[in-house]
Amino acid sequence: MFALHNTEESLRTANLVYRFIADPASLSDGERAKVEGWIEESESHRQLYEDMVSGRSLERFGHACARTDRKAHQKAVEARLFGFARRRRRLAGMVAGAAAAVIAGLFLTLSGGEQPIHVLPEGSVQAYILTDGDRTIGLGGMDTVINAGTYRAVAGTSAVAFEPRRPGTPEPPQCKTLSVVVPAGGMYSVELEDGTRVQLNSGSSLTFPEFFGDKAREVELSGEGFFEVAPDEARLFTVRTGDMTTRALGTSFNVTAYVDNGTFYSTLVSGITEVSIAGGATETIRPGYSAIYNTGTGNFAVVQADTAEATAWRGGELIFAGMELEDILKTLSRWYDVDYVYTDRALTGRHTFAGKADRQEDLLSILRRLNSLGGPRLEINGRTITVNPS
Amino acid sequence: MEKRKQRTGSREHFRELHKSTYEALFYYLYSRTADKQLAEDILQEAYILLWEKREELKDLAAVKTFMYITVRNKLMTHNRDSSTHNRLLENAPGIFASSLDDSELIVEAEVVAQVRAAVAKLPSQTRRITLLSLQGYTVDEIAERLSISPNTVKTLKKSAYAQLRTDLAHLRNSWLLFFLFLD
Repeated sequence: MFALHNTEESLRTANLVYRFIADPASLSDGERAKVEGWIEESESHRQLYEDMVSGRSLERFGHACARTDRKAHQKAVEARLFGFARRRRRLAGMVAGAAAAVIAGLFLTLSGGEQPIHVLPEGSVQAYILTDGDRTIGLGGMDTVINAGTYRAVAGTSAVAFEPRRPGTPEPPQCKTLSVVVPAGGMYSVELEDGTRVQLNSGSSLTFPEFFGDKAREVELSGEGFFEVAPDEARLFTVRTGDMTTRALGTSFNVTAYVDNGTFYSTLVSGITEVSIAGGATETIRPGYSAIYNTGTGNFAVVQADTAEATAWRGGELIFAGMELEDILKTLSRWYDVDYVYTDRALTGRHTFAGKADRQEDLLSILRRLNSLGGPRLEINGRTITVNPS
Repeated sequence: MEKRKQRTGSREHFRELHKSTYEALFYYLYSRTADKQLAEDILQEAYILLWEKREELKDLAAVKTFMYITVRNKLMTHNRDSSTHNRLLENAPGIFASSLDDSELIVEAEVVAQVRAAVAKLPSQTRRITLLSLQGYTVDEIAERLSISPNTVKTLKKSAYAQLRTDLAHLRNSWLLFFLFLD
């Protein structure tokens, strides 16, 4: 009889197998042995594992899902659970929208006829908590208390606060690893169990243990975050971003490490930090200075920085003083969950702009303003910005 | 301005649950029945039941466990009541049903759903292109379907490749190379 126990066991196996495939470094020796044991258990398991890593499983899954319409199914169940009222209104809106799109044609220039594009509105899901890469909890949509066995947290519309470590709870490496992932269009803050506050920009993630140990506090950042580190002389606070590491005691600093940008920044607002490159230099940073690391060339330098400009994103602003167009587009693509494409790569690296943009603005009005300043002509089609010769 | 309250038990909460569980469950049922309508009907009933029990299910793992057990029971009841369908499955298991046992099928469904979730983190247009590629469409067909230029499709496929490699660094990426660069 295939029942509760077998199903739970299968779900646990699936978790381990996924991590074995996607992130083997996150597995303990015991977990790795468990997955290997599962694979070797039978010819059928070996074949299934081969299918999963070769893409055959993905193809089967894709073919099956192409036969169903998830949203339609969701709406059908919703209608049974909650009634029809809102569905009718949305359908009417969709028809009007579709008609407008047909009339407007395929490729729209920025003439004022497009649908506005906004960041994720307040009250919608802005971020997710992943536990060991799985068990997703949406954050920002509602006020909620998360009670996940070992850790507890209180989540609101703009921030989640983890409760301090209680005596007797496991510390790294025995405890789980959590990530707060902020997708494009979102913005969210995290208060870690030690009291350190981290504000995360769109398209960023912060990975940290459920509880810090007695000797160190280590987190990993991808994207951009502003850190206000809770003072604790006994335990240095370390932010890892690829090859660049920022170490701090009680300080506030901004770290920018978007992999697609190729340049990482660690800008100090107050206190003191130490920034080091794997296998390279270590520099002590003073307030008002920024460590800049080029991930391509390996160049590493400390320069004076405008801290107001570097942290303007926290208030929902993008200040660009002589910023290259592509860097502006990268930021906009993360804020508004859009893509951008150059029709001619010769247009890159040649146009810089100075100005200000606000997250509350509609994307089209920002693009119109950029167009009015000259340079390449920006068009938008659906959710893709196209950069054309002027 | 009116602020909408979102709580456990809200429509938004249901959407989250549906979104994070539907595809894997559909794949499980479809692999067993090869009958889209039957799979969707069983899932409708199962989600209604889930909603009644939501207070007792403390996390996503509990929700998934409940759903797999529920759809499996409903499928068994259906097969018992419909002898022709049963015969069909017994006669041609290789064609109409997956050869995997229940435990293996759940592992496959859940692992692949997580891989697809990594794809889902891509920006919208890039994601649409990646998923169409996964379904075997060529660059030109995708360009026509999405009303964009073939060059745009190619550029976005390349950026998808770069990002997926970061997210799924250790997945053997022969198949990624295959669907992103074929043609």
